[in-house]
Amino acid sequence: MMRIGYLDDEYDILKSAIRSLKKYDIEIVALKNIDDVTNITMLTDAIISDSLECLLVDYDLMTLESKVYGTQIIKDINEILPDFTCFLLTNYTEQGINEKIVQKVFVQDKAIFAEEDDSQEFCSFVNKIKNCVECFRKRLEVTKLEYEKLVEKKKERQISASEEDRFIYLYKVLSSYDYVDKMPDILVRNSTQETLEDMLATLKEFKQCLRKE
Amino acid sequence: MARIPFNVSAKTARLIGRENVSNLEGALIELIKNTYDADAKKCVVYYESSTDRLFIIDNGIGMNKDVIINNWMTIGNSTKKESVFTKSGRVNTGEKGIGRFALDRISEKCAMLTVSKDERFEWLVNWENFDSSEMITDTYAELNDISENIPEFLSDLGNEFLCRMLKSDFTGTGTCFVLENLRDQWNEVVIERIKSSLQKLLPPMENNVFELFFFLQDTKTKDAQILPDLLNEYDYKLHFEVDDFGECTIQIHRNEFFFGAQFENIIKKADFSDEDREFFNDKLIIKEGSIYDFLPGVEKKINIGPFSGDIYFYKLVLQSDNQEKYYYKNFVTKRTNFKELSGIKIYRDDFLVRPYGIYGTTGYDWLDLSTRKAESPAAVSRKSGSWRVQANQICGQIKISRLNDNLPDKSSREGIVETKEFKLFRELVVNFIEKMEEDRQYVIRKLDQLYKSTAKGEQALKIAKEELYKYKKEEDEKERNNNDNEADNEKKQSYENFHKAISYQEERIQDLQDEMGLLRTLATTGIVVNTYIHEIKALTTQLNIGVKEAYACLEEDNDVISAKEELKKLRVLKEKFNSWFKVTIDAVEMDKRKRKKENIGNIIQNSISKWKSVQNNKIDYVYIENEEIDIRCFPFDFETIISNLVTNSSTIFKNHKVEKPTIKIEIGRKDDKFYIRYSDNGPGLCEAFKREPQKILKHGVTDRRNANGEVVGTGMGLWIVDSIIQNYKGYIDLRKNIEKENGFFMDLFFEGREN
Repeated sequence: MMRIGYLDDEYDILKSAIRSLKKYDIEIVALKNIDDVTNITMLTDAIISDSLECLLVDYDLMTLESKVYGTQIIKDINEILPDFTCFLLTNYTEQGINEKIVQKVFVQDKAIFAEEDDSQEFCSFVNKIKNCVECFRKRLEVTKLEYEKLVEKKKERQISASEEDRFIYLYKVLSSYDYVDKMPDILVRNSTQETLEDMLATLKEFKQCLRKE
Repeated sequence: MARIPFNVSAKTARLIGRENVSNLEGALIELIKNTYDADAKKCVVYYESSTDRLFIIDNGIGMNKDVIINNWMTIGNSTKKESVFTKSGRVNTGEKGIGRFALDRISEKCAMLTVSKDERFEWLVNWENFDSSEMITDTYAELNDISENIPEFLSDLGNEFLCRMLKSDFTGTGTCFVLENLRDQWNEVVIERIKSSLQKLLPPMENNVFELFFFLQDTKTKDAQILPDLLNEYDYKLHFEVDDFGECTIQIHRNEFFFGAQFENIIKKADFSDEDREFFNDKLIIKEGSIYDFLPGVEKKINIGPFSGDIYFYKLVLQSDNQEKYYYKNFVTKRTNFKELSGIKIYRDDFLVRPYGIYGTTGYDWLDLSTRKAESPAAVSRKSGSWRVQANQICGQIKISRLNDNLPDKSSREGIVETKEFKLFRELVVNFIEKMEEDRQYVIRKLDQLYKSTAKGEQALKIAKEELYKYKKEEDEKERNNNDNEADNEKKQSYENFHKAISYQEERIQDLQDEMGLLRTLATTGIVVNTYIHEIKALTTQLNIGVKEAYACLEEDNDVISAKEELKKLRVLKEKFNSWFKVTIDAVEMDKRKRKKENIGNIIQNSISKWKSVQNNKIDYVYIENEEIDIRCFPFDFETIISNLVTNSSTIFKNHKVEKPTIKIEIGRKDDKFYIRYSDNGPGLCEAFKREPQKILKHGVTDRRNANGEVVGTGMGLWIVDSIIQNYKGYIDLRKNIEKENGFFMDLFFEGREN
């Protein structure tokens, strides 16, 4: 089963979309509970915690509290999750394509959900989604190798501060998609912070020694 | 088998060269082009009458030995064939490799000194040797090493001003020719002819990229500089500067009109202002503002400065009837070859950035002025519509400093990277040009009005109508007295013919005006559909998906209740579709295309109710009728006005997420005119239009942009509204927008027959 997200300001086609994609083993999760979709950290956290592997975003999100166009959301998500595919759903594809923020291949006419589920057009759309999800999974595997190298460095306490940030980010992504086992927080904890705490403790001891003298 | 090489007689080689350089001016121009191609900043032509010698001196890159042997001395061989551009980015002007024969055309003997970065040579040739040698390969020039620089080489010159200039600007690299035994007699006539040819050679630019001087023995440096013929003959000049902080200053010089002795009379009769009086007398029109004032709709912070530029407008043809109407100045210089000089070039410091503005290349019309002209082909005198300049009518240069990193060069050095900033830079330059266009249109419209009011045609029509009226009166009188005779019958026939002709013309004009009204309404339908295409397509998709889901409920789940619910939801869509049809297709129905007495209040209220339905009652409408208006009109005209205004407000409400969006429409009468006062509680006009709100009525003016910041509006809606109101002898007042901080306000005043 593949899990993909759906972000719109009106979920009038959701029911039909869920039914159609379910036939192809694709589950749709509607991102209805996000207060501010322009808060990209919150949005990407939701994507990761729901283990979504692809996202459908409507072009016109102007009736949401944070009025915004879908193209902007996709651009912002891809800055944080570059390997994550987002489709721009629109009633008027020309508009989405002309903006050239989302590649033409990922701009999808919303009317696709009005096509028969076994029609050539719909199958081709489903294949596109599946292909994107497979690529995303493959990239996670590659990312896992990078993560493992950082784990080694961390063990040997040779990890730099920027590498550690990357380690924490990769852990967050990979553990959400079950590519690595979940760890207690204490183990993921920032070792730079540990080092700082060690230094502070030593300083405290030193100060006490000075006072005694 | 023996292989025998071809050769050519020295005489023939010389003849070929002469064929290409036929007269003295042509020869000189060819040599000056060579100095330009050598990246010279200065080129001097000096004729010394006491010694009858001619000097051509430049401070270009000079030639080394290889270039002299392989290019200069090999006839027909030119490095310019392989490379279109010089090192500093200039476009090579010569290319045939025959420039050196120009020397032969000018004099019998020639000495050349060339100083390149590493080497210095003196090259001597006597062209008469070509006549005495049999073959070209037996003809020789001398090439000697030399240690002098150009001022030292020319130390015996008889013009002290030139000597001073050489010492200051020609001590580095360069080339100079000393031509003796001149073939022409350099009298005053020849000298004037040469000067005139040199003036035509230069494009009308005021920059330091290439300066040309023509000295005689007593000429001072400041008098020697050759200025392009066209430089002071432009019709309009636009100078602009944008600083680091995005502050823009533009200066416009009106140079196209000459009223002569009629000056005061025209200023008064054409209703020009006191300021205009000064502008016609060479005072510069100055407009200042921030970058955002010149880029309507751009709100995000942008940095594209600093840069500056000069753009010149030249009309290419002078039609005598237009000259009479608009008091155009005469052309002093022919402008037939202007197109080759046209184009707006970009200079990074003093280096040309190719291919912008270079005639014959794809980058020639980089501002896309041709498309702009095609979209708005209105003549400059037309009452409505915006006149646009053609790409081949303007030339100029924009200077960008290399310190301006907001507009970076491409790594290939061929052009500027097409960033968002560059697109805005382009738009900004076009908007500066628009200011010049507006001013020209303003002047010509006034002059056109003046001409029409005094024109012979209009006067003749007035006289004819008066005559007819007088005749009809006389006829009625005669009829009452039974005074008809034979001669009167003939007169009657011809007067009736006149009457028919005038009525026929008037009917035709009326038909055309009615047709225009219909086209305006159709255009409005187009605008409405275009603006709401997203919503209209959404309805279609919703309908199709709903039907599919209902079918699936029955087929796959056998769930009749859910299927019914789905179908019930779709019934609402029927109403929505109907509302769309009402505001679009219904607007042009037959009944509304007939002029008849109508109650304007009813038309407006009907329109409001249709729009309310389309907008799901999300917008509040306040309608106030201070006095009933019943006039003869086309109903679709007033529907079109409301549709265009409501469409604009609704887009603004949506994009700015206005809380409690409200549109207020008030109608009534003030003095001899009726009015419709329209307002909304949106954010109001953008800064760029707040100062001059009247601009929004012009064709093609819009501030609607997509998420990318690109202009997407048609700029037609309010222009249509303005055209309709003008047809009802009215005008639009937008002054409230200047005072009020928020909201959009439009007062439309108009007339109409009440019976």
